Amino acid sequence: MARNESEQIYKGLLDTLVLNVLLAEPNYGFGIKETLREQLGDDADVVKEATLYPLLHRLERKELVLSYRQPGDRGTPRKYYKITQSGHQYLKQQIEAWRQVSALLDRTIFKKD
Amino acid sequence: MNFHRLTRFPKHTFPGDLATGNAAIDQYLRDLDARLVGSQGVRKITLEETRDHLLESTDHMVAAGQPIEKAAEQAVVNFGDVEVHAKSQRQERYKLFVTMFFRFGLTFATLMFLMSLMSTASFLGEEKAERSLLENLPTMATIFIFNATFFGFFMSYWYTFAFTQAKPEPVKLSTKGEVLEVYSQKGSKYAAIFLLIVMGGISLSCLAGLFGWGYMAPTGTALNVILFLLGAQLAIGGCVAWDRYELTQDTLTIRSFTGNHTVPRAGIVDLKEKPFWCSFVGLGIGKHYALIWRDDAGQQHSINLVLNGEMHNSDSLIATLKATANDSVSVADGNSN
Repeated sequence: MARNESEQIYKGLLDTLVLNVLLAEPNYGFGIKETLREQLGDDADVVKEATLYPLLHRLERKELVLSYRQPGDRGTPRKYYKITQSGHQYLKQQIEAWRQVSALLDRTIFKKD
Repeated sequence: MNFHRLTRFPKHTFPGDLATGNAAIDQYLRDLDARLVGSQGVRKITLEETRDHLLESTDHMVAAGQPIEKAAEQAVVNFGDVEVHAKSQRQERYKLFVTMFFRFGLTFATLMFLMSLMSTASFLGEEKAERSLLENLPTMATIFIFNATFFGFFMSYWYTFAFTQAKPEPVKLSTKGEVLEVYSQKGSKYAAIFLLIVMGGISLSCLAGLFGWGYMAPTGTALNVILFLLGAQLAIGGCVAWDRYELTQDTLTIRSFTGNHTVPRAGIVDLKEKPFWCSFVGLGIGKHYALIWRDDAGQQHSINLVLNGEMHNSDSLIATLKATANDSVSVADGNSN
């Protein structure tokens, strides 16, 4: 149950995490997943392909990322995702919002007397 | 229930060139393909991305010591239920279909309505035309709805389910280093020649009509002017198929009928997508962008770029130019801080 609930929180965070990965450089689906796996460590299981790809396509529709294809070495083009200027702005806002949540938790639940 | 099958015209079958030779992966791709909407070219975008992921994931597990068959099966399991991915693609396409249906349909129906008004006014005179309009309002409304529905459906279907994006081509090596070339496929050039002949013909007929010659002579001046401009715009607009963009480390060169322009990459400030209606009124078939750049003297310039999905590497060019613009903004921000 506790695991399930933390997964829900992670899912809410996923768009921010994906945009943060793309901030470093344009990346493709598997590359994004691997980077997130390294960043999340033990919690990497929350990033499932069935969640990641629909999320990437949704971010693209919202114009927070754009995609382009480049010739791949497996005989088919590889699709890359790149954060847009609106994506930058959205990420900034999201980071600020999470920072406020974190500060609120520090002031309340995690407060040490 | 199987509405999505109607969108798969003309090739329903799985694209054989995507077969990997691995039973688990190929079966997954076939199952996915059967649930996707659109022509083969549209479905391939999703299939290629899935295929790339599954192969990469398999290789990763093989490198970690798993046997290939087991690794492929695991990659397929990790990728999740086929229906989840297929549903995402279907929803995305259906949403696009609805958006484009209204955009194309309403634009065309409005244009036809205005033309009909002008034509009636020129034949009957303004006073009688006004009366005729009031009397025939229900008929005109029906025609408007028919035009919007028919044209909106036809164009939106083509745009959403049939239009295939050009395959990306590798960057070329030249004396200037790596060059990303953006150019149209041969098929686009044939289509542009067809458009030039047909729309050029309509445009010239209307021009002749303006001077009282030919079968368009009885049509009113206003309608002839509009049809002349519209025909000329589409006829000339098709010539974008011969436009060529070359992006090197230092410059972007634009070759078109209006001449050659070279923009220094370091001077690029922004790439702004123009509003949707610019595609209808601007010269050139495709999305219209304003590339804003500064020369060595610091003077700002703007140049119009017209790019469409039928051009090889057009998406890469847009991404690179936007990145270049973002970098220049970051540098400017950094300097001001």
